[in-house]
Amino acid sequence: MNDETDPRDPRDPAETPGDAVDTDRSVAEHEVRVRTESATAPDDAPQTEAAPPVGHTPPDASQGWRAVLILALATVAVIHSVVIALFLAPDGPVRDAAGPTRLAFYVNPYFQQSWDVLEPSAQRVDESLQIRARVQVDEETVEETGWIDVTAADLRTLRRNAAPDRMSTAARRLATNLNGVMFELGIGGRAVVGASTTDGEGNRVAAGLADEGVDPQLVARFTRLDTMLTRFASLYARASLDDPVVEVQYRVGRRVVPPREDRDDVRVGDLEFGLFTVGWRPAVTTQEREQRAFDTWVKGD
Amino acid sequence: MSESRGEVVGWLTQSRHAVHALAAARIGVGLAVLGLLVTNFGNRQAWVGDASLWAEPTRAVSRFPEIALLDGVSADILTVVYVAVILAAVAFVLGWRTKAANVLLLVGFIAVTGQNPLLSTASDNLLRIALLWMLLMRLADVWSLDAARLERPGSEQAVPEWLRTGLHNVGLLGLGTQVALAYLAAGLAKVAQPQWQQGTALFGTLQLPEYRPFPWLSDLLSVGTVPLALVTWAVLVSQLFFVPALVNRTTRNTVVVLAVAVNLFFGIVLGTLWSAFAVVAVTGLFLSDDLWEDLGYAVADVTAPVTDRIVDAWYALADRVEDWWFRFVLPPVDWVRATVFRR
Repeated sequence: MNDETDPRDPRDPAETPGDAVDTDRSVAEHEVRVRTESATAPDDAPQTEAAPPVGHTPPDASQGWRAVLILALATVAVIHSVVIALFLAPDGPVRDAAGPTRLAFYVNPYFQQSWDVLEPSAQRVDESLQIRARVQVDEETVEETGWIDVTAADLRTLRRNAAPDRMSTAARRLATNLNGVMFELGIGGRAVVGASTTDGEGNRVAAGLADEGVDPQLVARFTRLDTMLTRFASLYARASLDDPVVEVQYRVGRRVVPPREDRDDVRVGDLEFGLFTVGWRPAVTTQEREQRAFDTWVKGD
Repeated sequence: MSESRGEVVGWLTQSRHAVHALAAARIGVGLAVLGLLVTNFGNRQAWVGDASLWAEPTRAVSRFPEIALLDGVSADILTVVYVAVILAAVAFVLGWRTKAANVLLLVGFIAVTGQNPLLSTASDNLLRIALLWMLLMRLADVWSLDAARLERPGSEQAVPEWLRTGLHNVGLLGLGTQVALAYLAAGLAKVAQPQWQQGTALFGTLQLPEYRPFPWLSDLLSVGTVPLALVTWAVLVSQLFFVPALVNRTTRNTVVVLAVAVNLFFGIVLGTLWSAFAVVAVTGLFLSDDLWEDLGYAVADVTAPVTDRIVDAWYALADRVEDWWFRFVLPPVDWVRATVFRR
């Protein structure tokens, strides 16, 4: 934002163009051509017969109620900016005095933001999402497939691509979110999540987590993610496998970039993932058009 | 006190500020949205359409009313709306019916990206906030099709000039403060961490597979101590000193150029080009307006041979359409009016 006016513009605001109405197309064309030419040759351009300087307002606008109105609007903008500044500020007495909940209520959703809006940030955790399925190979036989590494498949689309599509980050985002929740759940909560729940989508897990004394908000976060991951795994498995998918299972991996001092000996790609595995879930049934649209993404048709 | 109040009122009411910088911001924001939408067009169904049912739980807790516009719609309707938002972005870039394009782009952008909050990025927030503040501003005073249209005799404005100017400057104040706060918050958060002070903070980021579209480039920057420190400190300086540098014209322009370069550079290195473009678009607000104007002339000089040919071709086409209209369309219409309706 800057407050310079154009010092090279000698046009006098008083020299406004006349009211002549020109309906002749050839003259109008000529005017447009003159404008085009003047844009490419500013030194030769006629300066006085055109409009007043861009953005100029007659002086009387700075007087009376109009000025008060604009000043009031500017004050609102400043107050808004102070609220945003408090929202972005680190936790502390000033932010606490303003009330973090009140600030969040004001900011959400239209002015939602965080301190890390500007890239790049320091990151060092690599994450992975892997899925597998139980498929009906014939009327009486259900077989387990091997693990499919969804994030590894996504990485292929990121190669030599400075502007990858958003779906190529979907599996990683799901893994990142679930890893965070799994750490918060604690050992007891993770044991519940790891148990098989083939007789109902998520409900038994939520009840089990509540029995473990897990915070209800955390249970709600996990349930949302579990639902998303089960749907994603179901869609992905059906898109990748030929046989009917009966149940799905997913696991999320996490590995940390080794210290920079060890860079000649080991890189993050050399490390094994630390894995959180959830129990088997019934494959979610979807409509044919939804599955077909998902197939298009997975298979790249 | 009254003198400073007079200065503030004068700044707010007497003329619109940063008209070239805001025209550039309009073009940049439009291109960032356009790039995002075009890049994701092929996978739109899995991202925000029929096949995004996997993201429905996060959609359900979103507070944006705009997402109802596309929630559960058919693939065809999604495509129509998606293309309409792309066209709004094109109109916004060209400055054609800019205010209407701004409204459509804001609503459409939220409706599309809001369908899948899990895959939204920080730059989505920045673009949305910029488009919101831009509703108050005059973005098409220069470098736009509207500027040519509104200069024609007889063109009228719905809003009085004094109010347009006042709202423009209030919007500029709001968006400028928002961008400054983003830089300040990012810079302060970084400088508090020892790894940023030591110049090693970006090693991990540059080693992560998801941020290595060009592995050789990432290794070139992260393996050597000096290159890593240089790029890390360039990021830190451009963000931490952005706001303090605004007080002086020279330092302001310098830090803006540095911030733009850093953002574009890392947009390519980390594969986050459209996010970087969004940040660059609003960062440019702080470059002096006369420099933007000079840049505009320079671009016009360079592109003149091409634009002149396009304008000539356009006039030739318009002439042919007009000839065709008078020779083949109007005569039968006149005949029908004269014989059938007897008017």
